[in-house]
Amino acid sequence: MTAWCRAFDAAMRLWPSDLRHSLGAEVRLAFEQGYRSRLVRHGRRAARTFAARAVVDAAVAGLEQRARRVSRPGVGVVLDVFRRDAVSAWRRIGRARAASLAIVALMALGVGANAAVYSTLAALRRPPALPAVEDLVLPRVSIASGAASPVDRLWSYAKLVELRTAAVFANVDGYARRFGTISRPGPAESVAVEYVTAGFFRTLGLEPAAGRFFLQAEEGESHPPDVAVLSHRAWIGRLGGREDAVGQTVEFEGRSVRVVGIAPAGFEGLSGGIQMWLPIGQSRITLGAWAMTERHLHWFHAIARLRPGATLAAATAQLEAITLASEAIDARLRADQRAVSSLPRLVDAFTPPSARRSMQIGLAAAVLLFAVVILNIATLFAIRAWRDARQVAVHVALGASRWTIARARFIEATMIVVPGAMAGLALAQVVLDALRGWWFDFLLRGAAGDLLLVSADSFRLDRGVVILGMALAMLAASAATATPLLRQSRGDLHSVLRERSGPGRRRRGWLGTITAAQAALTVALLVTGALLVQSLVLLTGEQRGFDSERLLIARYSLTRATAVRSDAGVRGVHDALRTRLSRLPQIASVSLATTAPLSGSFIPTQIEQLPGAAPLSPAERPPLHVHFVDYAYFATIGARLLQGRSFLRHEDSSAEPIVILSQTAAARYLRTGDPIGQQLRFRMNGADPGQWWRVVGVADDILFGPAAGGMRPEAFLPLGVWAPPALAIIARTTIEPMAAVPAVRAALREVDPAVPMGTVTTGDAMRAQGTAGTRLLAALLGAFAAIAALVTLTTVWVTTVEAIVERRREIGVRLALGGSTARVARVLQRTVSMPLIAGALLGLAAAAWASPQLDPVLFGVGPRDGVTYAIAAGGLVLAGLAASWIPARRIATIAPSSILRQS
Amino acid sequence: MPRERDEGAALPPQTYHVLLAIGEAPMHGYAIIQAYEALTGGRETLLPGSLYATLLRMAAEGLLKEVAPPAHEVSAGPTRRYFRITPAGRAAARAESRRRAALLAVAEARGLGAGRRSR
Repeated sequence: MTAWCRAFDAAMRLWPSDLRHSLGAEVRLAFEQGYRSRLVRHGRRAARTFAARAVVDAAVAGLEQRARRVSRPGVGVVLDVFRRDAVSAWRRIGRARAASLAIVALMALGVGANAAVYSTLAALRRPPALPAVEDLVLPRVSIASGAASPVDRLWSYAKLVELRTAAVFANVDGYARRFGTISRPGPAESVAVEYVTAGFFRTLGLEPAAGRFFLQAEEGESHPPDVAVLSHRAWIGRLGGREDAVGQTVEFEGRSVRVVGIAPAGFEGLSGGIQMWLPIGQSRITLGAWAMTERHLHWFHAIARLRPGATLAAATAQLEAITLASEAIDARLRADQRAVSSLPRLVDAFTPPSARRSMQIGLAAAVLLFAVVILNIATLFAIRAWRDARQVAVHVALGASRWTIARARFIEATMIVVPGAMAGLALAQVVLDALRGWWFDFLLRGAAGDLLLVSADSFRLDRGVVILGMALAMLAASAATATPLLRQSRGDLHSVLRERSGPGRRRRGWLGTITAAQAALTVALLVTGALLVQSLVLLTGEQRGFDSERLLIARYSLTRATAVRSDAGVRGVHDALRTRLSRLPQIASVSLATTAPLSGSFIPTQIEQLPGAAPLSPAERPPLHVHFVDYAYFATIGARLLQGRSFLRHEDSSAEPIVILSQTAAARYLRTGDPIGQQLRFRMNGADPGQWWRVVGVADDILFGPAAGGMRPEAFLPLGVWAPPALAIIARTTIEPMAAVPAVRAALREVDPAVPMGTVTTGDAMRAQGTAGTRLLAALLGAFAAIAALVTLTTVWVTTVEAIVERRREIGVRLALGGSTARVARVLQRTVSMPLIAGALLGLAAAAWASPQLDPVLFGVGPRDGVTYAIAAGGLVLAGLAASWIPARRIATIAPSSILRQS
Repeated sequence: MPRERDEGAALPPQTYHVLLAIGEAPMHGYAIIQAYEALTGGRETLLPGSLYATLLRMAAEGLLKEVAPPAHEVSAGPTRRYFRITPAGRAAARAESRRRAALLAVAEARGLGAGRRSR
């Protein structure tokens, strides 16, 4: 009963609102009484029949009432005409059900793909909701050397203070993204925090939701107070939105910090996903004494607000002057190096360029796909119109005007295209939800680095794209339908009826052009899709240097460990933990190290002296990415040692200065002779500044950072040199890795209950994250290319069939005169082969022209890879020929007498 | 002001059915449905949506007149609207009955009457 009542209410919504208000309740009561009386007197079945009839009746009555309201003269007549057109269009659609459904599906794919990708791109371009956001700028300095790409350099506190002297800036502030563990209140969790200067929030124009932001006195004090500002989300999630949250304490990295304010809702830092802000002065405690005093240690980003009236050009000039003066003080640049300043506005740089580039490529591909779809829709409608030519001629002869004919076809197009667009809208919403959940959290966050001012909430479906797509499809369908029909309507009935059904030269030309255009667009899509798929295959293949299967990675930090008081104490905890872990049945082998593959982190240092060479000046020192690892590291992660040996067990506790280099580091820095036994000099924690390091092994390259940068020079040092307080447990498990987490957590608790476990992940998850960008693009472009190819092959097939219809009599005569089946089939194939080949060549040229745009997203394959181009174009042409061969061959095998009789 | 209707035109079936069912006393919609079912022995029914639309149209054409509910009407539900037949309604019903009777006579004369069995 309830369901029927709901259905009846829904039908009543079709009534004009005033009638519904005055009569609705009474009509509904009559419905309920009628239903109940039938239920009692005649049973459930009769009641259901009554209810179904009553619902339909109420809906029709409502629509009739609405129609009566249209009082303007002529409107009723127009509505009636459209109703009749709609009925006859519905019949025509029913007769060509398969083609109509194909158009609906094509529209859904074309519109859905475009709307989803465009909406994502629009979210990345929507300016952040900050007051006077156009006045916010990002002072940046990079060091350029010759033709090499400039390397970005961050800011040190001393240089930020110098920047504040610039008159063009109303405020200059700094921020740095870091991770730490909040362990109270609530469960221990590794969270992202930002260390900020005191005026950070004021510069952004924000007001606290509660309490206050930081005071100037809290910025640079030698012993800054332990204060923090919580994000709105953390306030709700961790403190339950308590009104007395200000003044409460939170335990961060083993220290109690007092909450002095709550950030406004929706703001989660300039680097995104921030749960807590700390004054930059506190970095001394958690990051080291050098953080605020060392002029040459650049570790945070700057954000500034232009003074009212200041121009960007004037501000850039002042930034350049200050940078030059600053570098003159430093005197660290080589003769071929120079500092380059830039001052992008925040509104132009708030999302990572790589994300925008990916989405721009995706959108370009979606637009190409839509063009293919539109051409196909136009073809299907045109063919339908050609087949209706005789019927139209009869209508015209009976007095139908050209307007009447065009109107009827327009309504028919609407009835197919609109449902297609609606289905596209639904599809786009599904894709967008997936992108919001997967792409944003998983990929964009990883690619963003230290600037990401986009929230997942900003991913909203752009209905304008759907409307535009629908309008374009309507235009194509209407033009393709109306043009041939109107042309037909000009001719006299006699000549049209006498004409043998068939396209004729003009139609053949039209179909050929459409086929060529589709082939060109499809080849361009196939090339880009194939390049991306190849990149993905190479990226996920052997080139990452480790085996991710059943690899568990869990971080922990001993900063709160009660037993740790000295280096020996730290080593003792690490050793105890490793011993316990290695005894677990869930773990096959375990290693402790500062960094896991693909983690994106390393300890930076510079090589000060190469073997047999003079010491390098500070400006000449090449970079080295250092990782402290134990003896089981390479065996556990499944990395290959190309030369020499791994570390030995006793080297985990001895300070012997030995190093294992990656293949790239060895090739770059030890160019002559056997690298094993050679020595390098570089500075590192726990060792003398002038220490020489002896190479004992060369490992295959392992990817630690983003794939786009390629392999970097890595160096592995034994844990015996320096035992860092924070390490990663890297374990090869015997069961599904995440199932081993409770046992690992218990082992850590047994060693020291005060040590919280930080982020936990698996090798497969890290690998997936590392390849997510390429995977997304490869999936998008691969799918678009496959759909475009399928659509183009449909056009080829349809064009061949049309050619057969047109030349049926000729085919019959040829066969009757002894023409071979294969020859006749070849003649028919020629209708599509020339446009296909011409289109494929055009597509290759277009792909070669546009492909440099793909270069930044490719891995291991060039943007103009000849083999890929040949396979894409050749494959489409061959598939097209096969698609046309099937109907051509079929007609050629039918008896000529039968063909001639039919024609 | 009542809407003009062509006196000579046939009445729509639902309008005629309502005029037959409503009688002389004011009735609300559901009472008309019940009365019509009673008249036809339950073989035919009026559905609420189209019935109320018809009642409004008939009131607009002057065949029915909306009147105040009787004093004894007590209902916990929505206020019901009562309709009474007008002289014009009676005249229209009579005219429609005559038209149908004439048609029936033709049917009888052609051997298509209700009493005949098809061969």
